[in-house]
Amino acid sequence: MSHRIYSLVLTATLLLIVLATTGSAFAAPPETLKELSEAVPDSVSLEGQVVYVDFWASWCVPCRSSFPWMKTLYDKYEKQGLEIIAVCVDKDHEAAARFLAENPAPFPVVFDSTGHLAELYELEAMPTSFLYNRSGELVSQHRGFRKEESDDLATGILELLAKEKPQ
Amino acid sequence: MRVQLGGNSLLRKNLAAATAILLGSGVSHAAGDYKLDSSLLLYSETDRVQAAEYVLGISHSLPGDRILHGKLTFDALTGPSPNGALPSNRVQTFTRPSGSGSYTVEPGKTPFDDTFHDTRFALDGGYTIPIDHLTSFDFGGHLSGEHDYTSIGASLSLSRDFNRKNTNLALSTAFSHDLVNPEGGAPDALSSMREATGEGEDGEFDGEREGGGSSDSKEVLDVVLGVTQVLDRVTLLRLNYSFNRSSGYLNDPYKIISLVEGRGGTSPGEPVDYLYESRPDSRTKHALYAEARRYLSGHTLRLAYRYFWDNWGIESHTVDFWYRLPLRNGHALQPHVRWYRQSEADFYASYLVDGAPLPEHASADYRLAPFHAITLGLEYQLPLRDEATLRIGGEYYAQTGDISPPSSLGPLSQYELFPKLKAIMVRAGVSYAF
Amino acid sequence: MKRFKCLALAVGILALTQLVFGCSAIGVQVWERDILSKPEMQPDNRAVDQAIDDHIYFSKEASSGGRSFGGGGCGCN
Repeated sequence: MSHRIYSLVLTATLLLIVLATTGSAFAAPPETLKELSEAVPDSVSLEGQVVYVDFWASWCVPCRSSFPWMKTLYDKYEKQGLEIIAVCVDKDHEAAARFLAENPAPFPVVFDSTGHLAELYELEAMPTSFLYNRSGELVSQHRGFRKEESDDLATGILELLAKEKPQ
Repeated sequence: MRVQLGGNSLLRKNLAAATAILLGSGVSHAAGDYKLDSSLLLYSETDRVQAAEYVLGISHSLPGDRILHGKLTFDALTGPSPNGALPSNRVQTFTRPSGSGSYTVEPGKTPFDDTFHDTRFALDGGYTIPIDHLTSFDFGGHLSGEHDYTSIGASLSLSRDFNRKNTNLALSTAFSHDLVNPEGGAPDALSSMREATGEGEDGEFDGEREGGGSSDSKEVLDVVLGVTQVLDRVTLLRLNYSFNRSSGYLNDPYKIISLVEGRGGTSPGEPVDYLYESRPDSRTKHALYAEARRYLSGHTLRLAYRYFWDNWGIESHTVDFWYRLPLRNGHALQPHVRWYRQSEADFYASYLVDGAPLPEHASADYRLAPFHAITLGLEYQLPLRDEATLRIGGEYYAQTGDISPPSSLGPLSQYELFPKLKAIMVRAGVSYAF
Repeated sequence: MKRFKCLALAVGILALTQLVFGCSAIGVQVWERDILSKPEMQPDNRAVDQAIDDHIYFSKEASSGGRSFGGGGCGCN
């Protein structure tokens, strides 16, 4: 009996280690900017802009802490052609509204309570952001939001803003 | 901003510098970097043990999703505890655990040792490191001490998410080395209770008994394998298997067992001697645990069941249920019910009979007896401010013995062989993130 | 009895592997975790209270473990 327990535990350990080393590949979302541009208000044009798409929810802690960062970024670089689209996946519309009342967003917020866009983008973590260059090509995506990565993230955006000037 | 394209690395460097200056203040200290959890419990048994326990847990999130966590425990305990002996028609006299002095118990009363008091201090710490975005390791250490007991240990855990984080598999192991240093030394198994050395009688009691070692040790290995599965948007299921093996000194050095006169004697059922208990020197415990949580329009239900068995012959069932009823403005009420039933250990005996051959192992510890217990509780939770909650609650705990009384051994049939236990618990706790 | 324990264990292990490998269709998407992210839906959200409870029951009953480690580091049993 005792030997059987030990071997079971051992097998489980080995199994877990094997599984732990087989990481899943990062699934690249399809080119979905077109779909997104249909969801944003007509007054917002994504043409020729560097677009930063951020999927967030009011119940997600790192999402909440990314808000002030996005706001600073937007205030500074909007004029240089940066557009931030915050896609809210909250199913509870009231919770999202409460959060936005406390943290007013200067950038457009798209509500995706059905998860239609989230599904298109094949989200694997909350938050996830997608960065498009001025030609509308997906350049990078970023999973999660951590303080220590935010400068790198901003650098990537500034790089795109500097690389191609609006015509 | 016009940047010379003199090479991508230079551009990146310049931009990085610019970003740091422009956005350096953009990311403030995120709320929730520190989490603090503290809880105080006051435990009071009717006419028996009174205890207080305080736990302070703190965790600190570090860059790279690493977490440093620690826990501080302090508890103090005092009051009479059953010494294992049976009630008798006569006045009974017992030696105090230290060996110096004695106490007497009135006829018909369950013998309690009232010298019982202890304080315990424990420190736990750990560090969680992610391997990738789905896998993490945790290393931990443990240290605790009370006046007659010291424990040092280490733990290692591995956790991995699967299926879009809907399944989590976790494996934890812990090892600890404990030192037992009982008052008056660890007594020999089934040896007669020592004679009391009266205070001042010779004044040279050195805490050592003839033949009894002064201290002993035990090793404990723990393994927990668990899987947590999200069933749907409102339902969570957890299944655990836990394994625990301890070897070494497993007796309770303060518990004795009555050796009573047999049927042929002049006063059957009356004690002729008291022996120190004897347990096997190893024990293997297993438990299967299932827990389900479900959220129903604001209300949360949690149901847990545990099936436990060990190689001492104990088998138990535990059902634990709570229900969180939301009130206005984030306040909530949480009733709690726990039901427990255990069978006796193979070597459990409420007494031994004089003249009959002594068994290898015997213990009259009520915790190894067959009994069932119920806990009823109610807790009130209120939000203090943004990331802080206060909870206060009370619980009632009662144990009832399932021992069938011995048919005809003199006065024993008229006594309750299981010392019924009733306790009230009051607790208060605060959780705070900052 | 021993047979029953072995059986219980086997069922447990089987259920476990089944959950890991067979349940890729069960569950929710990452953006549907609003309710699961509530503190009362986290299995370990009351770790400190649970530690106290485990300590009390460890010192008053013969059973321990299941939810977490089987106890130790305490001379109370």
